[in-house]
Amino acid sequence: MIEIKNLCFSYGKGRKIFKSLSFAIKEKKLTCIIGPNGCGKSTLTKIISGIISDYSGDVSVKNRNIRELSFFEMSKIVSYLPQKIFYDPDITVIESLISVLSKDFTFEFGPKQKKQIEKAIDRFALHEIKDKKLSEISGGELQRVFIAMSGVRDCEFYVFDEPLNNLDIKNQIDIMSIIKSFSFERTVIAVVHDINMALKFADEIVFMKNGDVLFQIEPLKVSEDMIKKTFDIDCNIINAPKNEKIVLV
Amino acid sequence: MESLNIFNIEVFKTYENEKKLKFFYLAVFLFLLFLGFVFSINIGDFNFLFYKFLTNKYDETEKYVFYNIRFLRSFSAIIIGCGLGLSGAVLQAVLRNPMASPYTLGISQGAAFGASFVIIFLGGGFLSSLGEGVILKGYSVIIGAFIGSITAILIIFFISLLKSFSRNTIILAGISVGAIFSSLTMFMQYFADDIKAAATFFWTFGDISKSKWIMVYMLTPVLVISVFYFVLKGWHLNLFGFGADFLKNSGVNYKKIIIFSFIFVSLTVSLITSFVGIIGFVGLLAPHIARFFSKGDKRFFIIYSFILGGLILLISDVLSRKLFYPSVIPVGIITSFFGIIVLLYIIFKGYDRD
Repeated sequence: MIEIKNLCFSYGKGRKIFKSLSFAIKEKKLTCIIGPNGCGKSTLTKIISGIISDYSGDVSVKNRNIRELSFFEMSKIVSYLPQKIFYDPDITVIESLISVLSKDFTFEFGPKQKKQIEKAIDRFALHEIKDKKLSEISGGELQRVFIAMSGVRDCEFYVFDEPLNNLDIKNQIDIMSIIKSFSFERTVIAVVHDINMALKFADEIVFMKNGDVLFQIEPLKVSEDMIKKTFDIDCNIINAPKNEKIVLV
Repeated sequence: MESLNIFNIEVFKTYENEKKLKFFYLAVFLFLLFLGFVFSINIGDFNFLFYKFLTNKYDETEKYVFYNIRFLRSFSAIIIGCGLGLSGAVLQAVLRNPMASPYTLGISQGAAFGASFVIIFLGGGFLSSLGEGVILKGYSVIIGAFIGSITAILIIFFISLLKSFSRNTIILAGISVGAIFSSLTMFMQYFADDIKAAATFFWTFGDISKSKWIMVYMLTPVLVISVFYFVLKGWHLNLFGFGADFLKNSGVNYKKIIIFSFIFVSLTVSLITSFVGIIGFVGLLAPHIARFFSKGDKRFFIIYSFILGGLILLISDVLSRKLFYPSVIPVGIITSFFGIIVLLYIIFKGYDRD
């Protein structure tokens, strides 16, 4: 479980992001965070992943305060995929995966890492592109590689900040399916912008606005009113077959 | 499960083949470096010195020429080039910027400023009347150069990593830092007396003939330790390419790598600049050729840049001795000329894919 208590944070002397945020994220579930731009979604993922540490309040992962964890321990528990990721145009897919698993002062990887990489290539369907450079593959494939770089690590928590950015609908569904499959054994937190994607895949949806959690609820219980309160928009929710909900804006 | 394993045997096949090819390139570069070294020792008024050295058939004059002129010069060219090539490669990897090098970021100029300051104001060295260049008194000039270069590097570091500006901004900042240090150096030269000004003016064009054995003894261990360190950290350097946020969660002690690389670059550049002056563009040229062969693998990128840096400076030095024979021009002019061509190539190729 990830527990956040009385979290306060602001960037420098400027905008205050969190005044006093408290909530918890359940284990072995896919939690989707949605909310308007600038509401603190990305900042929250950075705090949970240990990227930002100058906050006040407490964040604990598996009952351990993350302030007490070193950056190395942290990387063994939480695997984080940032919203903006750069890449060296020359690096190949397989080299990217090796880089993530490489240890201190080793020229090459060991049998354990080799297994992990083979597993990730299978799981993320990277066989056809594994030896291509990152500059030679499509946007959807690139995003899949980034998710694989995060997923190849053997962690208990995975935090994905907007993994569906700039993807077409097919790729969005593919990526969400992979993320969903992660949540059967591990805890996954994903920031998404498309409410329908959250409704379709999430086990729990967190609605955020102005640095606060407005609702934390199962997809089936999401109402038009909640969306109205979060985004200030009018919408209709229709019930689809297979016990799913679709939001029409 | 069985079938899955058979399928997976292929996963690393292309990668392993590429790696073999990269080891082959490494052997070729080392061979070229050796050939260049022999060639560089042999050219000049005394012919076939290397052969005489191997067969031990040389007289006293030839022995002196071999050890203290040819061997020193050729070996210095190699290690200075290796140092600059490695510095450029490390800066490019850590700052995630293909245009970074000790020269384009103003680090060499910072070192020259620090060294000039010590010579002009603190009397740290003087110009030899025998035309041997600058004679250093103690290590104060090297320390001055080190402070100058680390100042330049910290300014660049602050701009690029803390403020996370774009790649172009970093290079513009580097050019500004270099220009400030150059103008401060000229300002001091203007007010200094002629002898001291001449001593510092010598550095404007880097010249390998000013190298001393003491520089070789100091620079070689720094380079040997660093090249091992950075090759073994090659995969971690790859992670720098994915940006700061990814790096911070990767479990890599990136702060240690950054600090080590800054100390290494400052030390190398200040040692080189204190003795032979500013040699531009080798640190830019070598990593670019290295990248063409190493692709995305930073282990090979580091070692190729190291060797190619030495090779480039060795060839440039041979050209500087042969091109206008019998007069010898400073090697800095040659490297700048070819370096500018490469810089233009980078600009036209549109390398900046931010």
